[in-house]
Amino acid sequence: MSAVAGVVAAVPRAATPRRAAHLHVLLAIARADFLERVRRYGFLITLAVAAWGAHGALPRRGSGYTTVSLDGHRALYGSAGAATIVALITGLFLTLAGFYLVKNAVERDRHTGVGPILAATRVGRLTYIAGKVLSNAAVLFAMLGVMLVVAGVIQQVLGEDRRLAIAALALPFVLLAAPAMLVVSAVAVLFEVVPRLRGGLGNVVFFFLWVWGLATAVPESVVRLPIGDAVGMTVVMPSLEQACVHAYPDYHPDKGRTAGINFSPRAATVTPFDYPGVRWTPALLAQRLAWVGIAALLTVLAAALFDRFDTARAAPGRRGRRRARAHATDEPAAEPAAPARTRGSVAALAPTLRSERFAPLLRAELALLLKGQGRWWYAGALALALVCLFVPLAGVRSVALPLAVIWPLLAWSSLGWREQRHGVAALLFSAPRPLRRQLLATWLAGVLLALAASGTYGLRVALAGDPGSLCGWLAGVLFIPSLALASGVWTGSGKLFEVAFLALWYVGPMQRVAALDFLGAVPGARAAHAAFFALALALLALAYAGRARQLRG
Amino acid sequence: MRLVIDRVSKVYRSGAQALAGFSLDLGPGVLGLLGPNGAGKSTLMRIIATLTRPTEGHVTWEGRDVTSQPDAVREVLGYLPQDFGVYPNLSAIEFLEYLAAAKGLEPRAARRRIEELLELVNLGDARRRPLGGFSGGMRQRVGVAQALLNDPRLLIVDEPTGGLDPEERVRFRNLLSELPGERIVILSTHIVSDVEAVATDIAIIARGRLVAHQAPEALLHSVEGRTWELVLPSAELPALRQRQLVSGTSRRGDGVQARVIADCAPGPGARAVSPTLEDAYLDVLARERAAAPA
Repeated sequence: MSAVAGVVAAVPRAATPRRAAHLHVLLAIARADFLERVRRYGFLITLAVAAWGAHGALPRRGSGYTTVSLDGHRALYGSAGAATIVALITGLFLTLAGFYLVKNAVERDRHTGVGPILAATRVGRLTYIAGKVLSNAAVLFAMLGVMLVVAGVIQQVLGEDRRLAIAALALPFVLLAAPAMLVVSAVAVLFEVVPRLRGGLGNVVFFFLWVWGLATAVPESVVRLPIGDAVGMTVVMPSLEQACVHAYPDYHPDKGRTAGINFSPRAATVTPFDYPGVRWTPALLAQRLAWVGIAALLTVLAAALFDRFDTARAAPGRRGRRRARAHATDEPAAEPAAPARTRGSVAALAPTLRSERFAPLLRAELALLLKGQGRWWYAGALALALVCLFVPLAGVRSVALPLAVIWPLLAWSSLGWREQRHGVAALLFSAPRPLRRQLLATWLAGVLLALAASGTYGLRVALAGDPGSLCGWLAGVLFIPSLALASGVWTGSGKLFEVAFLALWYVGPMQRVAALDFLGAVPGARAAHAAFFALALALLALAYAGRARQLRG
Repeated sequence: MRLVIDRVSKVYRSGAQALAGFSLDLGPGVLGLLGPNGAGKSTLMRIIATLTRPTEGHVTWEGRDVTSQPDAVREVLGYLPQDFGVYPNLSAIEFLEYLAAAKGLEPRAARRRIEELLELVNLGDARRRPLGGFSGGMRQRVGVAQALLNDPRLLIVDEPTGGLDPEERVRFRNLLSELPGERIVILSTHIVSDVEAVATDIAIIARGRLVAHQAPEALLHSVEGRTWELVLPSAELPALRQRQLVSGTSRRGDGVQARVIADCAPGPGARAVSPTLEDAYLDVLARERAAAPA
C-alpha cells in the first residue's frame, strides 16, 4: 500500500470511535512521512553524523578541547555523566541543525502533490499537522537514539566508570533533549505553514531565535524564562556544580563555566568529578513538561494557520495586489483565448544571430538575482551603504558592514540550485557552455552584488590607505558568493549556505573573532583574510566540479 | 545534416535499463518517436540533448560525439523537455531573454524574435505577466517558444502536447509542420495523433529497443487488410480481448463496435476497414510483446 493510500484508508469512518480513529490517521501520516525520509541514503549519513557528534561531545584526555567544563573540571564519564554531556551538547547543536533538517515535511507534500490529495479527504488540519510534527520528532528521536547508544559505548570504551545504569543513561535524552526536539519539530512545521517563513527568511529568523534561546540557557543572562531553557542547561548546571564543589571545594562558578566546543590549552589538564546525574524533582519535571506543552501549543497554532494546500488562500503582497488590479481591467481571463488561426508563421520569424558576448548573460544573471526584491529592500541596502560611507570606521566595522553583507543573504542563497528548484536545469544545461559561461556568470553576479552591498566600505578603507582591511574585504566579496554557489550546487538547497553563513557571520564579524573574520572587519586579521581568499577559490572550484558532475547526468 | 544514434544503452544506478543497444540514423525531417510510458523515450531525448551520458554507444551530430563535444550540438539545439519549470517571478519576456542570453544570442535580434514567438504561441497579451500565475498550458507554450528561440537545426520535443487543450494541440502540430528549411525534428510522444499529421518518419521504441523505423505509409501498409470492425454484445467484449488485439471500441445501440487487428476476420459480420497509424502502432507493440522473452 502506498503512503497516500495508507493515510487515506485510515481516515475515520462514522462507525469507528472518533478519537481512536483520529489517532490512527495521525500515526499513519507520521509513519508514511517518517518512512519516506528514512528510506534515503541521506538518512544513514544523518545518523552517522549524529554518532560522530555524540563521539565528539565526550573528548578524551589530550583531545585539546572541552565540551561541558567547570573551571578545568568535568563530569566523570559514567552513565549519568556521559549521557548528560551528550544530551546537553546535542540540545545545543541539534536544536539548530535539526530545524533545517526536518523543515520540509509539509513542503514535500506540496512538491510531490500528495498534499492536495490528503486535503481532499476527511483528514483534519490538526491531525495532519500533528502527524507532521510527530514525523519530525521521530527523525530527531532516531538521532537521539543513536547518540544514546554511542554515549553508552564510549562510556565502556573509555572505562572511567564502566557501571552501566540504563536509567541514568536514558533519562538525560528523554527529559533534556527530547522536549527540545519536540519544540524544534513543532517550530519547523509552524514555519512551513506561514508563507513568509517558509523560505530563506524563515531560516534566518530561526537562527536568531536559536541565538536568543541560547541566551536563556546562560545562568547569568537577563533573558531568563520561568520554565528554564529548552535545552535544559539551567536544570543540569546546578547539579553539575553541586557535584563539582563536592569533589573540589575550591571551585567557584565565576572561575569559568563553559558548554559548547571550547579549544583551550587547559583542556589537556581537565580533571573529572563523580557525577550522579540530575535529581529529578517534581518542579524540574514540570519545567521539562512545560516545553512539551509549548510544542503542543505551537502545533495547534500551526494547524490554525495551515492553508490546507489551498493556493488561492495565500494572500497577495502589496505588489501582487497592484498587479492584480492592473490586470483586472485588461486580462480578466486566466488564459488568453486561442484564436482560430495562428498569428504569424514560424517561417516569418526574425532571424537569430549568435553572440559570444558575456555581458548580456551577466546582466541577465544579475537581473535574475535581484528579481522579486521590493523597494524596501533596495532602500535598506542603500541606507546601509551610506552608513558605511559616512559613519566612523569603528562603528562601520562592528555593525554597519556586517549588516550590509547579511542584507542580500536570501538573494545569494538562491545561487547554484535555483535551476533545480524551479525545474529550469534541463533548459539551461542544454544551452552552449553551461560551465564556462553560465556558471561563471552566476558567480560573477553574486560577486557584483557583494561589491554593491559593501562597496562603500571598500572605498573607505582604500581611501584611508588600509590595504590589510581592503584585502580582507575583497576576500569576503569573493568568499560569500563562492560559499553560496558551492553549497547550492552540492546540496540542492539554500539551507546549508544560510546556516553556515549566518553562523560564520555571527561568530566572525559580529563577535569579532579574528580567525573567522571573512570581511576585513577586524583590523590585523591578515591570516584569516588570506585563508578566506584561498577558501573562496577552493569553493569556486568545488562549485565548478559539482556543476560538471550535474552536467554529466 | 546527420544525427546518428549508435548502439546506445543506458543503465541507471538503480540497475534499471532504460535503453538497450538503440540505433537510429537521422537526416532532415520530422521523426515521430512513439512508445509506451517507460519505454525509454525521455532517456533517449536527454542523451541527445547532452543532459545524460549513455552507458554504452555514441550519439554523433555532424560526425561529432555529443558526449565528448556537447557544445557542438548545444549550439544548434532547441529542447522542450517533458517536465520543465519556469522562474515564477519573471515575465514571459524576461524569462525568454534570460534563456536567449544563456544560449548566446545577440540581445537585440533575440528581443525581436521573442516578441514574435510569443505572438506565435498566443501569449502576446500575457507576455508581461509573471510566469508564476500562468496555467499549465500557458507554461507549455512558453516552453515551445524557448525551444524555437535560437532557430534550432535540431529540435527535440518530448511529450509536448501534455498540458495543451485540443485547439492548442492542433496549433502546435501546425507549427511543427510549418518549420522551414533543413532541420531534424524529433517529436517524442505516446499519443499517435500527435505524430500522424507531421511525421515524415516514425520510430517505435519499446523496453529501450528500437522495434520499428519506417515511413508512416509503410507502417500503415503492415496492417493493411488486417484491420477489422465488428459489432458484438457488450458481454462478449472481454472474451474478444482475450483472443485478439482490440485497438478501439465504441458504444452502439445494438452492442459494442470493436476494432480488431487480426490476420483473418475475427468473427461473423466482421468487415475489413482502412487502418490508422494507431492500429499499426498497437500491432507493432503487440508483436514485440509476443516476441519478448517472458
